[in-house]
Amino acid sequence: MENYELTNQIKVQRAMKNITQEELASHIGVTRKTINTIETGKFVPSTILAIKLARFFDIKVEELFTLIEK
Amino acid sequence: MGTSIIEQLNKTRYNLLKWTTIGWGIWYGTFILKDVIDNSTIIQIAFWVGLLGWIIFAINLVKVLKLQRELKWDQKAREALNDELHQLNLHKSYEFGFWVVLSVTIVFVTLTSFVQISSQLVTKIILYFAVLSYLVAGLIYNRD
Repeated sequence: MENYELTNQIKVQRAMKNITQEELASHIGVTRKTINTIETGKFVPSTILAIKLARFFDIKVEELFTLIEK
Repeated sequence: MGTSIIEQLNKTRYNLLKWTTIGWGIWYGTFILKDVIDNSTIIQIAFWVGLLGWIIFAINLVKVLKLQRELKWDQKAREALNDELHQLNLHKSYEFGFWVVLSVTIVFVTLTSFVQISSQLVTKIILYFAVLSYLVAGLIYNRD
């Protein structure tokens, strides 16, 4: 998996919805730090959390997370 | 439960972890020091410093248990606080603690080939580093 990079659109989606990391964290049921680390690519969420996030933004998981080959 | 309360609880938990680490480091550190130092003045100072450390450790441990008990009835807050990042950090802290214990043990196995060290002292030192490394790793991984 070292040849792949996971990027996400959480920051963009958050901006579109005009919500803070803290508000998003509250909706999803995690801490703000978890949202922050996912957003910055430091932490890769589980499938469940990824689906929860995608559902919240009303988009597909593949639209929220993209796997890029390096 | 509101967001700010979860963030507040998260901060409280981090502070409790920080003071528990400090308490343990001082209390058990001075407890070991008494076994290796012969100077009565230093032993006396170590006793009072150790007592202070024990008080800090005990108070914070009680607070941690109290917080856990309070969260028992609030499933939403408990799940948010113990989310997957927190679980991952716990595992990483255990892993760090394991490697520290292994390293300290290897150091003592090597040392005892040359000098004689009491098994009780070795056990105390391993315990000290096991708990301390786990707590310190927890602080590092959970810092904001």
